Amino acid sequence: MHELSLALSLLEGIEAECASRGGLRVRAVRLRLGARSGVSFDALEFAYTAACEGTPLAGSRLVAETTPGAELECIGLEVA
Amino acid sequence: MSFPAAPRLIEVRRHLLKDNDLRARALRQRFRAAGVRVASFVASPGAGKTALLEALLGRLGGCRAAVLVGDLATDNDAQRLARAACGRARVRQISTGTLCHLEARMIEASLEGWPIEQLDLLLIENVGNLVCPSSFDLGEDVRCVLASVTEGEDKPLKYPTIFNSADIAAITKLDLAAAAGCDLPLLRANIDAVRPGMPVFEVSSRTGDGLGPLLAAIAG
Repeated sequence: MHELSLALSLLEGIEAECASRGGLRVRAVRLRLGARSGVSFDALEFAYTAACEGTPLAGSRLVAETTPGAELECIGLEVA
Repeated sequence: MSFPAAPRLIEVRRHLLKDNDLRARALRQRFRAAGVRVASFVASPGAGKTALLEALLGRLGGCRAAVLVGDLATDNDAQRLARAACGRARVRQISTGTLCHLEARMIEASLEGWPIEQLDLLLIENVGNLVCPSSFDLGEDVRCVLASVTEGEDKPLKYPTIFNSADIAAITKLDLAAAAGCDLPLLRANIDAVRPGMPVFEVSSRTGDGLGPLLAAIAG
């Protein structure tokens, strides 16, 4: 369930990033997700998809690069 | 003939918990400035968090304390703790609804109207959950993870993330260790395997055994 909180926080971050760059069409969000971060990618993806509905980010995908540490960060946006 | 434009990659560096971490940092600065020590407690449901806080509240002497307690529903724990505090400590319930953990913004909101500079110690009881609370910094000085003797010695191995997020561990319900057939050295070894060197305190909230050293570690 805490993945929903993280998805909302991620969404806010991306929206701020898009706004600061004058609006972007985001296709995919790249993450770095550590094995010890306590976060499940599947749950995060599910929550992210639900959280994006009705926003300009609807339809964008999450792509995660997994690492052995505790990383939990957004590293890039793929934009059209 | 037109080709769809290739996607462009924009580099972004943003921790997913940035908002919570910023709020937690601000809280920590506020607590420091007010001279209040903050300890939080995380554990599975039924590990004895509320019983431990009740026992600690009875041993605070002249220490000015307050408690925030998180649960999905009911203010049962807040009522228990208020009774244990006998008017000597303020107690406030945080109802999280469906949320499985406390976040820094909830701590911020629940402190509204509290004169924290008049406190020496703030205790925060997290929602009973060994998974979700681990990611959320609450601005505390010390995080105590509880493992009760009735839960099985391998709890730390099954839930390493939360044990890794803690500063100290308390093995609770010590008075039941023999009845539960708990192998205490094994439980300690498992905690140490996950978080080497973390101080571990064996306590019984019922008999009061071991509470002094734990309180000393919590109160700094």
